[in-house]
Amino acid sequence: MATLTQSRAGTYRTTRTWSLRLLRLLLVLFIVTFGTTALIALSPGDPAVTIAGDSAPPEVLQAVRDKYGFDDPMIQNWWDWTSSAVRGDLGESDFLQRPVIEVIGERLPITAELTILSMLMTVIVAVPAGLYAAYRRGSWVDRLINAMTSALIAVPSFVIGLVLVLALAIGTGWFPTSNWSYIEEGLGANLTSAFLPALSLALVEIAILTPILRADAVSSLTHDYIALARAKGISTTRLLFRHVLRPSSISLVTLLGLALGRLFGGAIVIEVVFNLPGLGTQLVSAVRDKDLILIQGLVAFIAVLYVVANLVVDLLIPKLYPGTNAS
Amino acid sequence: MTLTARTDDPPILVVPTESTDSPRVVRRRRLGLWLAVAWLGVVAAAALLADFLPIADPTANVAVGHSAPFTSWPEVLGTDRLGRSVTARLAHGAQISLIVGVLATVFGMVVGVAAGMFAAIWKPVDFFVGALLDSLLAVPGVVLLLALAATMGAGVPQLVLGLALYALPTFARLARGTARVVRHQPYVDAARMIGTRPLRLLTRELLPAVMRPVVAYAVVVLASLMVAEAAVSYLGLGVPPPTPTWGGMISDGQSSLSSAPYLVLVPAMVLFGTVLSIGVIGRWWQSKEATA
Repeated sequence: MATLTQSRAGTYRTTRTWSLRLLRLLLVLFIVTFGTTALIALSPGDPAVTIAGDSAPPEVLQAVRDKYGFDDPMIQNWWDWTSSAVRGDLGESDFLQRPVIEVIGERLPITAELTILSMLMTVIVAVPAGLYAAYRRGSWVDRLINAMTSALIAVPSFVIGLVLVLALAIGTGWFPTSNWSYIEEGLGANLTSAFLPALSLALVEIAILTPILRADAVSSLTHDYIALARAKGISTTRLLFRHVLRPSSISLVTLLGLALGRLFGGAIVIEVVFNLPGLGTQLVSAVRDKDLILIQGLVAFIAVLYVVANLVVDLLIPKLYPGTNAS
Repeated sequence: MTLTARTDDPPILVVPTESTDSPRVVRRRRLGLWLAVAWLGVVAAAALLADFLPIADPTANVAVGHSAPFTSWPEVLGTDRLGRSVTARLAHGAQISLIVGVLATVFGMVVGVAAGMFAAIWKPVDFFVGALLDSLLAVPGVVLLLALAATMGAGVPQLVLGLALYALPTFARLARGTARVVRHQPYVDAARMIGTRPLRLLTRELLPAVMRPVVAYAVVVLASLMVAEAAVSYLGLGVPPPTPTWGGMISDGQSSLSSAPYLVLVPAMVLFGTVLSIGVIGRWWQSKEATA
C-alpha cells in the first residue's frame, strides 16, 4: 500500500515537472521568435526604407510596408512569421532575392561539418587528456596539461585560427589559408580545407572541457570499485575508459550540449577568418547589408536549433546515467 | 534546460581544490598573480593616460607603410599598413576594451543579480526569469551582438548593451543559486522572525552574501566580455573605424599576414596577455572565496 502511494506521488510529480518543462520550452521558443521579430520593429529608422533603399518612391515604400506588415502590430507580425515558419517558409531575402530557407539549406552543411568535426576533435583529445591528467595528478604531464589549457582558454578562437594559418598554412603550405572545398571535390580536399578551422574551434573547447573532466575523474578515482577493479588486475587503459569515464562524464555530456551553442557562435567568427561559405559569413554579410529578413531567419534558426539540441541532451542524460533526476 | 554556467565562459567551475600544494607551487602561483597584476596595471595605465602620454595620434600616418617592432624610434612597436603608430593604437584600443568590458560587466551584474535574487525568493518570477534567461542563452553571444549591431548600428553604447545582455544569464543564475542556499541560513531566519520587512531582508541580509561570489565571478566574466568585444571588432561590427580597437587591428593585419605577421601577432599578444591576467586574478579570487 505504501509503495503504491509512493509511486503515484512520483508519477504525479514527474508529469508536473514535464509539463512545466514543456511550458517553459514553449515560452522560450516564443520569446526567441518574438525577439527576432522585434529586432525589425525596434531598428532605428523605417525598416521599409532599409529594405527598399533611400531613393525609393512613397508608393514602393508603402508596398514594402504592406508586404511585410510593418504597419501591423508586432504580435501580428510574429504570428505571420511563425505560422509560415512552421510550414518551412522563412520569408525572402531582399538583398539576395532568394528564399531564406534556401540560403540556410545551402550554407548549413558547412557550418554543421565544422561543428561536428571540432566536436569530434574535442572528444578525441579532451577525454584521454582529462582522464590521464586525473590518473597521474600532480605529475609533470598533469601540470603540462593544466598549463596548456589555462593558457589556451585566454586565446580567442579567431586568434588561434590566425596563428594556425601562420604556422601550418603559410609556414608549411600543408593546408589552404582560406576557401572551402566542397565534399563533391573529394573527401580529402574537403577535410584538408576543414581541418584548420575545425581545429581552431576545437582547441578552445579542449581547453574548457579537459579540466572539467579531470576534476570529475579525480573524484571518481577515489571510489572503492576502482581499487577493486585494480585488484582484479585490469589494465590502466581499460580502467580509465571502462570504469572511470562513465561516472565522470556527466558534466562533460551536459556541457557538450551547451558547447554546440558556443561552437556555432565561434564558427561565425572562424568562417570569416578562413572565408568559408557557411552560416556565419552569411550572417555577417547580412548584417553589413542590413538584410533584415535574412537576419531574422538566421538568428531564429540558430536559436531554435540550440534549444532543440539542449532538449535532446536533457532527455539523453537520464538514459545515459540511470539514477540522476530528470530535472 | 540544464542549469549550468553561461556556455561561453571559461571553466571557472573548476577551482583548484587540492590544498596540499607544495611551497614551490604556491610560490610559483603567487609569482603568476603578481605578473598578472603588473600587466593589468600597465594596460590600465596606458588606457587612462593614452591622451596624455607622449605617443603619436593613433589615426595619424607617422611613417610610410608598415615596419616591424623594435626597428625604429620612437615607434618601438612599429607601424601598421597605413603607417600609423602601433603603440598609440594599442593604448587607445585598451580604452575601448576596458571601458566597454567594465561597463557591460557592471550593468550585467546589477540587472542579473536583481533578477536572480527575485527569482530565488518568488516562484512565479522564477519561472518567467528562467524562461527569459534560457532564451538569451539560446542565442550564441556573437549572434546576439551581431543582431543588435544590425538593428541599432555599431558603437560603444550598443556594444555595452549587447555584452551586458550576454553576461546577464551568468550573473542571474549565480545569484539565484547562492540566494537559494543563503535564505535558509539561521541568521536569515532569525532576521525574518524579528519581523524584518521582505525588501530589507533582501538588501540587508541576502545581498551581501550573494555579492561575494558574484564579484569574484565578475572578474572572469570581464575577461570573456573583452574577448567577445575583440571578436565583434574583428568582424568589423564593433566600434567603427577610425577609432582603434584590438580586434580591428588584428583584422587589419590579417591582409598582410604572410608578409608582416607582427601586425596580427602584436595586438593578439596584448589581448592574450590581458585576458590571461584577468583570468589568473579571477581564479585566484574565486579560490580565495571558495576556501573562505
